Amino acid sequence: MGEQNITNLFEAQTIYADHKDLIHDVAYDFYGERMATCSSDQYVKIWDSDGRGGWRLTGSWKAHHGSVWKVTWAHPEFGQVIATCSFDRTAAVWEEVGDTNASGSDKGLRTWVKRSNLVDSRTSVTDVKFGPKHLGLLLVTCSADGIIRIYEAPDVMNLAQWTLQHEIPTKVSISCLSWNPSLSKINPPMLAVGSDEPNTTNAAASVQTDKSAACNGKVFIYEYSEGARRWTRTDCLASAQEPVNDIAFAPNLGRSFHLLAVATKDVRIIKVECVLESSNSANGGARFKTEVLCAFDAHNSCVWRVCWNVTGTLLASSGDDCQVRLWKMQYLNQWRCAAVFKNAPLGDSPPAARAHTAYVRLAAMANPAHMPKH
Amino acid sequence: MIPSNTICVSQEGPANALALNKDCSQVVIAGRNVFKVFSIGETEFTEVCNLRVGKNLNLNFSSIDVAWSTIEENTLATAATNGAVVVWNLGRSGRSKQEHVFSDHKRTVNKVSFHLTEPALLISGSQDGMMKCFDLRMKEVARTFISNTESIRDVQFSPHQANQFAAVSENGSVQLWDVRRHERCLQHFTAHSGPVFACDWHPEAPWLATASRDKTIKIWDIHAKPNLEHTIYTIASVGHVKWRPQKKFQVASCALVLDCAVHVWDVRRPHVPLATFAEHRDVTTAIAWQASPLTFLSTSRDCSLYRHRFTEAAHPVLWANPHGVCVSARGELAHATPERPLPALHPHHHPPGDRLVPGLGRKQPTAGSLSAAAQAALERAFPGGASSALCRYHTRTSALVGCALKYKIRGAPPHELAAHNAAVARSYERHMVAHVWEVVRAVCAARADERRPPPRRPSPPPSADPPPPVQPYNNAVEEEPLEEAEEWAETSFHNSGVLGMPTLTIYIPPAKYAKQLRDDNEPMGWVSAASAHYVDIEAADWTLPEEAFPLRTAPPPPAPPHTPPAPRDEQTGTCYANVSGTSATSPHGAVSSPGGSSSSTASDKCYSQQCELNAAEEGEGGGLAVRGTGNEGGRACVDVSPLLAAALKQHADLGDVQTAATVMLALHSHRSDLFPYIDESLQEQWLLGYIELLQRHKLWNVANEVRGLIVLQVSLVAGVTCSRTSKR
Repeated sequence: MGEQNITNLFEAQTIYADHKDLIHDVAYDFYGERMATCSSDQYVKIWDSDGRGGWRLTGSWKAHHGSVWKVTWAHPEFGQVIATCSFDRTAAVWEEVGDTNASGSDKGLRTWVKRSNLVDSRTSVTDVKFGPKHLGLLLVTCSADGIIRIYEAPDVMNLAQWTLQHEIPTKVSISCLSWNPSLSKINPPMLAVGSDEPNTTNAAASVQTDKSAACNGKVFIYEYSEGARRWTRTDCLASAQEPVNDIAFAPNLGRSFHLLAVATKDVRIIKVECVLESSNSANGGARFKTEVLCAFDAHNSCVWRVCWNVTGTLLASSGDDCQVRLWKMQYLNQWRCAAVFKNAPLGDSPPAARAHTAYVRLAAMANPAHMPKH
Repeated sequence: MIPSNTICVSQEGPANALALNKDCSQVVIAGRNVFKVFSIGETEFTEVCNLRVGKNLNLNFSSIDVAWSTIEENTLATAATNGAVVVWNLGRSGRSKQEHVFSDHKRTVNKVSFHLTEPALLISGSQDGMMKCFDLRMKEVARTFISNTESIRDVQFSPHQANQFAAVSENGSVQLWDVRRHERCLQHFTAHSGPVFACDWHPEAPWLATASRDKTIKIWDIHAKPNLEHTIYTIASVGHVKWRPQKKFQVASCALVLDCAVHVWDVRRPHVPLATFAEHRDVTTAIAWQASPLTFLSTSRDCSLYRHRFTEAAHPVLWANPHGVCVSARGELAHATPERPLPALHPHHHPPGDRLVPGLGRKQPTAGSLSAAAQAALERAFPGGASSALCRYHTRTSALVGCALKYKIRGAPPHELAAHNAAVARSYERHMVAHVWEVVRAVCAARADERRPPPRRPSPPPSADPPPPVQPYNNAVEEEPLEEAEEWAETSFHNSGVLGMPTLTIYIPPAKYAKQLRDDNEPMGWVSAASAHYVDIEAADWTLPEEAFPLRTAPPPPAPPHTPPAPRDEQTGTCYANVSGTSATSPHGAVSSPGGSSSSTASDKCYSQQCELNAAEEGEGGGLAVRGTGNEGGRACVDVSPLLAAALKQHADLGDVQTAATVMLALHSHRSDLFPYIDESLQEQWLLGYIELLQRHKLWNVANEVRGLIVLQVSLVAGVTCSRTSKR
């Protein structure tokens, strides 16, 4: 299939990044001009594009007392704001202060101030995401003990004040969540969460969980009901049975359905269609019609990450094989692997030689026409 | 759930400390209300002796710490909250084993510690800032060491130099003393920014680990001048620290607050614990290794005593997501990946016959999930696995920005805008989009002609395009205004050369002009290339797989677009194919096989299927068919609105909101025709989506233009401005 030699098309350039442990998350801002990384070394770093294809470190600070799992940008309307969550059981909201436009390139590092520390969780906070901006300034966190918390900043000018609006217990360990970014006024606010609760293999355990046997799925959909003023679980996707590591709604720019990517033992793309209220009874009362569009085990290992491009036409995934695969819809609604980026692991060379370093590799695809033919 | 090899016993009260005897077969635990000796069996703890007996259970029994002589089998010492140091002799007959009480400290004694080689020497550290060395034979205080710091929290004899001991204090300093010299300490240095709660000597290296409220564990090389070797960052105040025997770089710790688990760290990877034991329900108060790296004991405020086996450990690093992937608005992809991935580890128990996906076992947050071999592999790879590579790949820049900048959405009649935009789309090789624009142009032009009898001849189409050039549509309108509606459904296949696959094209009326050229075998008169099974709007540069052919030409009926997994394709079929099916009553006869290309047989086959499809579609989907209007005589105005609506919806579903939004905008007043088919909220969603997309690319001018148009176009004013204000 020509996938193996695709890496030859990339020339790697390395830049010292200096995270002292694994990087757990990378996030681009709304425009794709800034990038945030977070690591187990408890640091968050901000990288700015210099407009010529290079990236420069403009912020670096110790953000937490434990591994920083996720970092996410707020919509730029709210300022230069990020949120982080950590093993230390807190989530934090950070804002860049000072003149963000002028002279930053010269004076080096900019200052990020912790505006708020959300300390409600009793266990590791596994994910944090800002809500779609048309809902206001919302922040949702989830924790290893399975509680989803939705915070709101009533005054968008005051990032220090966040009120805990909703606490949704799920009873299973939650590893990831995703807002449905749909701009539609018809759809109520919607969240998808993924659980990494391991499947108990022994029969005894499965007997005692028969209460939840209605759905063994690991992906749950929650919706906000305006009438009841609370979030309720409206669906559980039975098609995802293995522990889920990451989950992502595709940006919905007017699709009539939602696309949900799930990183579990494989890469899954699930189409979620709202069932009209009228036909609800015919459908056994289900709120959604879901369909697994594809499930790829091409990573041949646990898949850790999925991420959509801005139009929801391209999905990137990465797994334990340390490869990134790009998935694209081809004819007949078939999703196909469009490219494989491989970052050769260094192998078993003595760690001392390169201990505590990390590098940025820059690569540019020479010509899109060089993409692999299947 | 307690792992199977872990044993546990609960008492009536929490224990503050525990100590093992010299051969590690028995353990003593001591607390405010508990003081017991257990023998450690393979599967259980057996109570050997309860020392909390006798008539006067005074404060001497309220123990902060306990120590078991490393030489004498029967000698124990406890440190009491009232400042007493009590020595116990397990060999005494009778119920009370109390041997002697030293009441020399005036405040709580935090720690007692036996000399490692001298059986009669015992040292204590107290809240009063003093350490006292007791001579058990003389039953007196041999020496008093005045620290001149705050409270002493821990004292430990060095295993390397017999008479040296370390003392840590609440003001963050560490002192080294010679037990024979009480005048002044050997070394004094500030180790932490907060109180130091514990220290532990490395069994082999000249290292001292100190644990502090500043949430760090520091490893000091005190060979000569104290030198900070490693710092471990934990999430909570560290209460205790103990080196793991036989493992040079590993140290166990437990927290004073917040964190109930015992963590084992590799000092070379100071941010992530190698192993975690999370059985305790309250904070762990003491830990002790059973002289082996495989088992250790711990007590907790939850009143339990545990013996943990290292094989039952949970490994947090295995549940941490080691990858980060993000795709930016600019199409860049960032990927953080471990430079040295941990080995693929297999779970301990997996049902036989279960297909084992390599690496899947890594995602097992439960304790004791790894086999011994896997655990050893993890231990080896762990310290080196602390670096990530951050890679950036530039994926294709999409045509979106270019199109957004060049599209015209106002300032001209819709059909001219459409013609322009079609050319733009084609220049970016977005042939499907171009096709939509052509249809829009055709429709609008027809309308325009109705109103303005002498239509202006549009300029010739762009010539550089690989697919057949566009036939000026107005010709047809001039010549055969009725027929165009009916006949523009002439279909056939030919190789577009762009997608590398047969392409369904739509034939526009056999205008005179076109007929003349027919002889040249030059397929003039083709409006544009479009394929019914086309899906990928953006990636026209992708050569489609060869498998496309077998799929399409597979003889047995259900035609692929009808199969359930591809419902959207069905829609495509509807929107484009209907056009072909409507007027051409006998499409086969009308096939002109234009290019006479090599793929003609295959294409014909495809084509016939396509016709079947059309027939089927017509049967059920009559609502979308054009037929009625065409036959309704007289009017050139074909109602293609449903088709256009379907096409736009299709594009939106494929993630191409740009086409959907811009077509709607360019339609100006004609947009109202679409309302029956696309409800207002969906239209609004498209426009908002397009605006967001433009903003992401910082195309402010275009975004403002779009906004301005929206405001102009009355029907949406209310809705969109509302949403805009709500966004602001």
